[in-house]
Amino acid sequence: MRRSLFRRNKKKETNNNEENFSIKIFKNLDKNMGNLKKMLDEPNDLVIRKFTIHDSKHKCGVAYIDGMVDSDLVHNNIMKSVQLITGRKPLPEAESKLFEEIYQEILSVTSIKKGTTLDDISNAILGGSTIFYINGIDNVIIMDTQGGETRSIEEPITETVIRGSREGFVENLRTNIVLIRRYIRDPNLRFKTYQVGRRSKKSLVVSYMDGIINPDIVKEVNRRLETIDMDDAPESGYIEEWIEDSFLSPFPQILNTERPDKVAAAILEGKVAILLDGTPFVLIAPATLGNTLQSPEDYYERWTIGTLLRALRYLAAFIAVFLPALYIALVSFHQGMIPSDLAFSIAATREGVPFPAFVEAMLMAITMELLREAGTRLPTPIGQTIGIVGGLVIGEAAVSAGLVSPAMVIVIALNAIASFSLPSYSVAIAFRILLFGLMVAAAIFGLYGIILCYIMLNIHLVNLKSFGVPYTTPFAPNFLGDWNDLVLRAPVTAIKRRPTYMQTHDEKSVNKGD
Amino acid sequence: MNNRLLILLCCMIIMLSGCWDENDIEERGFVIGAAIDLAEDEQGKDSPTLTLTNQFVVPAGIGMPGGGGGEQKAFSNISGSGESLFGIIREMSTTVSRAPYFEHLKVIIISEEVARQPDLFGSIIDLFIRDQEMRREIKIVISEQNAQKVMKVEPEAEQLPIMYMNDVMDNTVKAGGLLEPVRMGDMHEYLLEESNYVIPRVYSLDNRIKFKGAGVFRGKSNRLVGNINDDESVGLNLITNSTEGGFIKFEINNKLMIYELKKTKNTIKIDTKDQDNIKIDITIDTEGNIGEMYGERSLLEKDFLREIEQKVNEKIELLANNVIKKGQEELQLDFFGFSDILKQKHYETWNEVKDNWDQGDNIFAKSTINVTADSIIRTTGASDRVKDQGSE
Amino acid sequence: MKSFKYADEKISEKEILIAIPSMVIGVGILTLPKDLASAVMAADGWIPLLAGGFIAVLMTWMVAKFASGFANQTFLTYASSIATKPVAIVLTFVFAVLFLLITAFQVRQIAAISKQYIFDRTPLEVIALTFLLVVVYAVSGSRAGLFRLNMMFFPIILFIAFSVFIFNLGWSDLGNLLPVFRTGFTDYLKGLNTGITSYLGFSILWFYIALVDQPKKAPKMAALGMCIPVGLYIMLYILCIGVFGREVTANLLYPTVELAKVVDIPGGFFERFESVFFVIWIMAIFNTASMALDVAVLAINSIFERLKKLKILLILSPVVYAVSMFPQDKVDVDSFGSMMSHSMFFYTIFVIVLLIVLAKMRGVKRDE
Repeated sequence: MRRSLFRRNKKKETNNNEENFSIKIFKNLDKNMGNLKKMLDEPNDLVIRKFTIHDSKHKCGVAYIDGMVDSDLVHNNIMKSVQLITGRKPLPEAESKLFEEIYQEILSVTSIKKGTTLDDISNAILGGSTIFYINGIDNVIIMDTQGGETRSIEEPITETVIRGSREGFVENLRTNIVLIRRYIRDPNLRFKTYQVGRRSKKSLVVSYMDGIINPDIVKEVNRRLETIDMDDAPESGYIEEWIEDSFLSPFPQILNTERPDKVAAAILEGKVAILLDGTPFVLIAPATLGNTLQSPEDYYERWTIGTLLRALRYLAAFIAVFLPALYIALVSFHQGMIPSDLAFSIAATREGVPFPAFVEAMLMAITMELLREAGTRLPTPIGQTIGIVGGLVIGEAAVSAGLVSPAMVIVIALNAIASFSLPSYSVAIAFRILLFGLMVAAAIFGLYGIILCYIMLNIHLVNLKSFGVPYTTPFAPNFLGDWNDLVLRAPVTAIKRRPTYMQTHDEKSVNKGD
Repeated sequence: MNNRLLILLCCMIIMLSGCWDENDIEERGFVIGAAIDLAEDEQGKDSPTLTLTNQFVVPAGIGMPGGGGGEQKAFSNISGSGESLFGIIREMSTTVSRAPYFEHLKVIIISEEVARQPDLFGSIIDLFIRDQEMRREIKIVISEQNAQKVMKVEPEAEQLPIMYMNDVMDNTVKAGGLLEPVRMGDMHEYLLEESNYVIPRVYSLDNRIKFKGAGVFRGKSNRLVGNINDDESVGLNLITNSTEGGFIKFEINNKLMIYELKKTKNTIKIDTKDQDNIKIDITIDTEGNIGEMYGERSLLEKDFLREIEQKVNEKIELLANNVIKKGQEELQLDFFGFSDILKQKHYETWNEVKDNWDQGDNIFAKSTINVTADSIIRTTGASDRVKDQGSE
Repeated sequence: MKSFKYADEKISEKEILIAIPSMVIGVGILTLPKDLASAVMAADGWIPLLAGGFIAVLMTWMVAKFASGFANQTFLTYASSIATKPVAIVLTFVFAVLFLLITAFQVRQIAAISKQYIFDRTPLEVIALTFLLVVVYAVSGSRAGLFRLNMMFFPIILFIAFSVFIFNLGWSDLGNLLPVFRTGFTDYLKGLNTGITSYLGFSILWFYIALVDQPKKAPKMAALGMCIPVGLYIMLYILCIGVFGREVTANLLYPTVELAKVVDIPGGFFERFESVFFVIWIMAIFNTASMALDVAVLAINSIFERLKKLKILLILSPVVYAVSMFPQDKVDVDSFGSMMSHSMFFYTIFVIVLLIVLAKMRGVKRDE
């Protein structure tokens, strides 16, 4: 039902602008060059070099966009080969034979193909390829010479680990594919390429492991990706929003990561990874609630530590969502539930605070959000200053000014720390949204409101699916066998099977020998 | 889409409804103790007028660690009089800035005067069981003097008299072997089952609170009928098997010795063959160690230990017999729980005797009760002797 | 290759195992010890509870067995093949009404108990309304979602029940359990009446078996599931008697909640465990209410196939609300509850007997 919204604007086939470009290539070199220039409106980074070969009998041309190509490659393997070799060696006279000869033997670029339309050319040249023209032939040679400046592989900033690989994805799609390939050297590892963005024409690669993944998931991912129709997909977030199951849910139904090891592990669990050119964030689908609270490091440290970290994270998730709401409920409704001595001292600290607990909590929580936002946007050194100024000065001053009680400062601070100790930023933010809802519920109905909210949250979760996989599995539908990698992170030797809920083909993951 | 609409609808209705029960913690007047006395002037009326004194916590007086406090008292006692406690509380709410809030009520002190009134005690308790704010752990004590007075003591180490009293009560039970306080939950049981009960008595001394003995109540009329002293309460504890600690003081060779109780266990056997002379056999097994001795004999001699154990037994039997004697002869009331045992284990007999157990014919007073004690000294402390036996 | 299980709305047998106790455990247990203790002596209540439980398990098994003979058929379909269409429609309709009554009763009780334990001034109507809205939200979602909710909440409910049990062990006095076997025969019958009506709810099987993936396994699982509340009820009842004694139990309004009141959490994190206990118990009541409403919707839907599920739900929920607000005071609510559970019980027996006898007489084949 929800998906129908997208299906409505499924591919519209006609587009006037594009039809102009699908014209054929002419035999005349100058005319072709002119067309190319006209189409791109003669940008000054378009490099066109005309020259002759074979005793000046044949006019040739090379075109590429400066900066997008590997210029060494163009110079050494294209220009040099063509000009030097053609001078030494007798070549056929006929243009078509010459073209074949050059295509087959002379150009020493590995990735090479022929193009026949202007559309082919424009796509290739804008993607960093070099075009080789020869007068009198209505074909061109397209050589993949993609290169130019890219960021080098660095440690991922959003997901640092203490123990584990330091490699992170970069903006370059090819590098990213290579990074995944380095982890899984299996012939069944598949990379299926799509093109997204009517204007931007970016490459999108879906990666999965044939023989492990359930084909239904691949089909579903494929179906959803086919529906994408937008001008540009600047970041994988666009893709995520377009293909996720419910865009109204605060919970991320697709995970994103900068870590190749996490992607590789997911692929081996029978999931798909979606890589988009131009972003280091790779999507992993399907995702379940349990997945959102996992970090690769759980597996790299010994299992006892891993389990403890997991349990800690579940506790953190609980604190991140419920603590301020519980505090409001206890302080404003159920004072009898607070142990007597504590109740008296909370009452003492709240003496003179002008607002009810709810307003106080809202005030502090919003301040917290502002601080977080300010800290993220500013350069690191200033960001830290904001943290100190905000955290210490405002907290301290607010308490001594009698605006908030010290207990509330503790509650909000603890809550913020807990929410940012979650491994994924998008999950942390989702939980912070829920927090506000719960605070409102607690302010109206106290504990009763909290429990109703909790029930509603559960109703939402059990109805939520990610690519057909229920979001709450393996809790419900219950797969007890999968619990060994949920809150508990069992020893590697004990996690013998891939998650049942993924319905994988190849179930066993260790000790296949026996 | 419809699910979402429903959530929205849900949220909106909730939002529109507002908050009825919200009441911030600093607006609550925490009552931690309540004292009930007879109002002085109007005695002799048909329905007695009561005075209820509530001890409120003044949070500002407790103060934050490091910051101020101290100048202000941490509590305030506010009294009101009237015929119904509920009415008094409601009236009190109109005179104080923070409405009384009873969820942290710890102790109720009832003066002996009130307890001696016919049919009053049970009715007082009613409010404290019926009201939702009350807990089942509220402790009930009887005050020898005016109950208000007990709440006015100003202990040195504690800020709140009731909290102080609460702690003292625990210590009294553990260290002194005195009676455990009666909780509201137990009280509910006593009232419904019409069993007899004992409630510890308290009195105030300058700025201290002391527990002394207990008041014995007749279950049928819920009226205080007599008192037992400290020794008798130790004896009672030994019989009802509710000793949590305490000690037995006795003399051996004219030298004082203290036997510290560590563990007690007793068995009560009731022989109902002859209904006019029911035989009750109580065996009290105790374990403990020597806490203090004034003599110089070595405790490592087996004979001496036997002798000590013998003395301990005699003392325990004496304590138990004294309180039984008081129950059978003076008060003619079974506050030992024998009736419960009869009911539980000899149901037929109980059905026959229940109307004449400790009233009417008073079979209880005529029954024969035997107490046998069996004590074991487990350890003698860190040192056998502390003083030398002296030159011989 | 295995099919992709999730896409369809089938119920696994594990979910039936959980659904039965989730349905049975609701507000009933909160008052059960009181009703039972006023009927029988001391701890003897376990006998009617066990006997009632045995009957309930047997009936559960029979219903499940009978219904599973008609795999993938709705109650209406197989009932009409056995007892003609008009009769089947009437049978279904009465079931729908009874389940609506159950929902209304749960809604009313939750409001009443909330008012007792967590609210003071909040109006009953608002408490009931918000709860009903949450129930409606749940029912408007997928049916499989409801079963998953059972799965999510049931362990929590069991956990809280066991923690009440464990924390209370120290307070209970074995003497309170005596004397044993002193209850008269008629009193036992009275107790049995209370005991058996507390196990109602297995009638959902009439309707849900049609959705079960492997109906062959369902009867065993359903009967097994029914054993859980039997065990839980006996445990809580004996605990109540042990802690309070019979007299007090018989006089407390909600003895099971009061049990939690006695608990002193070690560590002293929070006090007043009964609020926590009741708040968690709301989940159990929610499960009962949402499943009852869902079955009512399912039943009505099978009669009026044209109507959409959501429409039916929106028509029914105001009715539920109105019915739940109908009783004036506690006494009315109690008699409403006992009326409801008795009619549910006798109606279920009636339907079992009717269908079995008719099926035998008319020789309707069940696919064994």
